[in-house]
Amino acid sequence: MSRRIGLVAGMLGLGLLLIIARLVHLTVVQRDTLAQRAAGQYRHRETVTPQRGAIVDRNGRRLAFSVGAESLYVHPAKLPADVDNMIPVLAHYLSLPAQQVDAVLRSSKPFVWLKRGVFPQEASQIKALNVSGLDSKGTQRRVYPYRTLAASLLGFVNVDAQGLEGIEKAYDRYLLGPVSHTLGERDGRQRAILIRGGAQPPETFRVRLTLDTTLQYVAERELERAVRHSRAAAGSVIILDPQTFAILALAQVPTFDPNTPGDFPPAARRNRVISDYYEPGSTLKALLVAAALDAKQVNETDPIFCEHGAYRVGGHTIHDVHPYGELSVDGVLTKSSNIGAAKIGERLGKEHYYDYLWAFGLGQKTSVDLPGEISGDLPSFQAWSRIKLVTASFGQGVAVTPLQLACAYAALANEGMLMRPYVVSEIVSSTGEVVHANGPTPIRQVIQSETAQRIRALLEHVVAPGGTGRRAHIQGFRVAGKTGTSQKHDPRGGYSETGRIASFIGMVPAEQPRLVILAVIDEPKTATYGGVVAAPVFQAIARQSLAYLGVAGSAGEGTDIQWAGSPQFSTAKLSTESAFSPEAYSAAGDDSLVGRSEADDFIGLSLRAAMRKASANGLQIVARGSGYVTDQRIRNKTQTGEAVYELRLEADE
Amino acid sequence: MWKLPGWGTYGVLTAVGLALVLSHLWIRLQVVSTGYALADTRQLISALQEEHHALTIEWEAATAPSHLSQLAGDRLGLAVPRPEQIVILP
Repeated sequence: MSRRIGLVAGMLGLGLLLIIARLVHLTVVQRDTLAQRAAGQYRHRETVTPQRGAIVDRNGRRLAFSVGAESLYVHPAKLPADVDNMIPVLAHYLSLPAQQVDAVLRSSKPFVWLKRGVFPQEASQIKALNVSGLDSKGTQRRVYPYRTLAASLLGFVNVDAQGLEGIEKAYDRYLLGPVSHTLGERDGRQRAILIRGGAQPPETFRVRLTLDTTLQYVAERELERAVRHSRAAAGSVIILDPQTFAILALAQVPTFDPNTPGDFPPAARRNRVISDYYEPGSTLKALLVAAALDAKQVNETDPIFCEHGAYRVGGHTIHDVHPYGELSVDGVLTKSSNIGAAKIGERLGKEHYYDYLWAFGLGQKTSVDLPGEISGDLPSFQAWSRIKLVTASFGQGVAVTPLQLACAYAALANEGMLMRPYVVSEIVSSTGEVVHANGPTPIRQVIQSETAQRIRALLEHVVAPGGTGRRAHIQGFRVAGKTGTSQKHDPRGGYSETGRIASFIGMVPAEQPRLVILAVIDEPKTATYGGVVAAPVFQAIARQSLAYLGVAGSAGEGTDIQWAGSPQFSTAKLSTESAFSPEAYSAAGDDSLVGRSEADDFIGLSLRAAMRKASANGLQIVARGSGYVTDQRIRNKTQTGEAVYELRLEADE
Repeated sequence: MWKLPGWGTYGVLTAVGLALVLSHLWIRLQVVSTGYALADTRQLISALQEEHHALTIEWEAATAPSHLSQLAGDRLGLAVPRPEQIVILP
């Protein structure tokens, strides 16, 4: 009996020893491994990617910001057998082609993204379907609420919220923000219990631009209208503040929607204002004359013989659109004489001319804070032949980006001082600390202040009656500017017979410029002259911008803008004579903004094209002059009450 | 001479030990319950942020210059004023 008891006790003791040994093994030998395994079951470490910082305009309007989103994925092997029935539903909710959904669900891969960056509302609809094998992962999505507005400037991001173009790319390191981690626990049902560390949202930065949303909209609207109306291939507009060189607007056509950049060709996503160059044509004459005045090689009144329209240089003949005999330097600019410019260029000399063009910033990057800028093309003067100097004098053979030219004119407007253009004014942290700031950065004094004032006075004559830029005139303001019409390069060599670039660049008010505006229209089909196609774009943008900014009219310009409290101000006059209605506005003939539809807009058309359009739309027209339609009015009506459009045509440049 | 503590001492020690264990349990339960509350609050914050974002998108779209311009023209017949219609307040 006692033996049996001893045996049982021995076995129990042995068992106890085994258990103790196992316990020791688990808690001592395998301690770290098992602790790690256990922690893996209830603890979780999560990487928190901060929401990408917002991009706002100068008034704080959000042009780009990020929102929480879901990325839907599937494990095809785990999908139910009857998933085919879900394809139309998924395609509907996710706005995807059914074929694409079908291909994803039938994929042989173990893991496939169905759609990334889905808004939470859409994702919850999908989740409600409760399809096994279909799940989601939290992510973020970039939103551009104004869609195409300033798209080329803002750029866009990829699905991983990394900037690929524009501001998004240039300031990616600020916008992305620092990645952090959270440590938490989960219960048996995978519910989060406690988050340790990183509970606070990581700090992100806000990028404030110099851009003004309203001016940007005005620029884009007028540019799009001009490009559509002239059936041009493309166009761009820059509005620059010449006192600081801050970019206020930067528009281009064609453009794209950064919410869906993949739907647009690369050509539409390229920022043409800094990554395309063109031969500026006559707009370069202002820089030539400024250089010649500054170097004291000419005076405004010096006579220049313009050879009656044809000037032989070596084996080449230079032509003017209209033949001129003798013109003053002022007249050369006002009439945009190529021959006159060529002779001023020859008087200045190629070395001086090149030095001034370089000093104005041509042939080098402006160092604007945007990616993808090119230098333009300013060949060294040592390689210039006589014909090269002559053609460069009227803006052919030298290539500039639109921003370079805008900056050069801004230097004229800024008393001869060239500055670095910029588009980001500051970057602010979530605590309000300014971590990066941009401001006016002088580069060099290109010409004397007095010369800048003299050239502005000359450029005012260009916009006066009789000048090529008269359609840029704004009632009540002194405007200084220059038209340009240049030939495009033919890919087969030489210059294109038909391809032209029409441009206008100006500053307003001329006595103390607040805005420098450049409008470039690429390959217009209706009319090709800068004074006909681009000057009205400048005029429309400048007029609205000045009103928006509350800029007072120029003294002595017969301004109609009234200052409340001034002796001339009368509320009675305002309420009676200025009472507004679209009909009255249109009937008054000033129908550039209202009352003119696509069907009855004849501006910029040749007489033949205007007659064809009028016939097609059943309209009656009366034409006066020759060239292109520069003005249209509804003067009277026929006995049957139909409108008769009176068109004024003018030749240009 | 050392003397074994009495039953009273054992009773007090046991009570203290029990109180410590119960306190630990209570604290642990509070930690878990607060952890759930924190997680719920975090979800609520996230949901409210999403709602804020959705409303922001709506607001920005509604006040976009293009939208306002269209509304002003279509509904009210407004347009950009002529110079004589502009009054600048000093």
